[in-house]
Amino acid sequence: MKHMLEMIDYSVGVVMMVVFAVIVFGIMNTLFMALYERTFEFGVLRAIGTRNGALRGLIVREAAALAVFASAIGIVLGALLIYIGSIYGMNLTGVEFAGTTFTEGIHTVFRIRQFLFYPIIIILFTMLVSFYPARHATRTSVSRALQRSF
Amino acid sequence: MDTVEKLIVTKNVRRDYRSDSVVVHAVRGIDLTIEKGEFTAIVGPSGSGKTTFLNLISGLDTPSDGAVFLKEREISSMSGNELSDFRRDHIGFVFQAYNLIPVLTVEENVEYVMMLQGVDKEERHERVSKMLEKLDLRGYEKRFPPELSGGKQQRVAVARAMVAEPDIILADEPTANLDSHTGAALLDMMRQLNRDNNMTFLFSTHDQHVLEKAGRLVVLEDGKSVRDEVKS
Repeated sequence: MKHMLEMIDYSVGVVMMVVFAVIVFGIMNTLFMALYERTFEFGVLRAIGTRNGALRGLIVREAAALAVFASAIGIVLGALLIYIGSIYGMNLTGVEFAGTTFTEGIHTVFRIRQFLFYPIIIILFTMLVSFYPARHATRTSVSRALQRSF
Repeated sequence: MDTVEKLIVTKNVRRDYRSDSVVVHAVRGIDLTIEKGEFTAIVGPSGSGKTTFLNLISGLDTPSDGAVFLKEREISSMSGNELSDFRRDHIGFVFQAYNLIPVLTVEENVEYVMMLQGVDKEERHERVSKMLEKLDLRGYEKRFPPELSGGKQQRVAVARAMVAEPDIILADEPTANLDSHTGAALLDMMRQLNRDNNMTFLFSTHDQHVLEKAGRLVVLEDGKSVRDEVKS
């Protein structure tokens, strides 16, 4: 049973890595789309005197704020699901898994790691990946960014 | 003795764009001097190089050849941050499509450049208040740009350009998106600011109202200056 639980932990770790990879690409894609739509606005900010470093900082802080907001929603929804799972559980009596037969239902439990560690990782990842689109936004020439008008 | 300050001097400035094997000569060697207090219009048909020339003057684009001097400093010698600071402190922009930040209120839009300059909050509010009063925008401080008419948005853009007290205001077809009455009123207001504050304005335009009010006309054709006329 101990080996089986270790295996489950290991496979959960692998799944989490894949999930994080998907999240990272998702965040980067979302940020790129959001920044692309605002190329013109960033062009205006740079034209009237915003330094590139300040603009990059603005974009990274905005991404961090979005990540904090999204994590807060995720934490609330996750806590709610775990709470429901801890009360009602899942009846697996008689189900055999990896040579072991469940004799009672299973119930979800709160783990502080899930509510602290993962959100922090997500926020840090978001800030990290936002550097690339932020850099891209400041490398576009101002005159090109303003092509719609000036 | 000549005591008039030369704000902008361009010397044989050129700008070429390359696309695959095609080279487009957008600006073909323009020499121009703009002095403090001028109210100058750059005119010419579409594709004559007006916008490109304004981009070069403001440091938003880099010349392929020649030199642009702003307040006796050659802009191609400046780093990116120096150029940003220079634009922030010396140039005000008025764009054809207003280009206000939609998520900021009118007063936040106007005070933005002063925030970049590090002006303290009290002085910022005082200057914003005076500028909005001057441009007849009192009562609109807390409104967001999309809630305003085109004419009011353009007045906010002028307020943003002027409040930081730049040496020159560059305006790319500022009346193009306005009806003739609103455009004429905006021009009268700019002309008044030019006379009262000795503020320098440089427009690109083909609006007849602007041409009538301009103190000097620089005509561009095919990227060259073909006429430079100072009106009495």
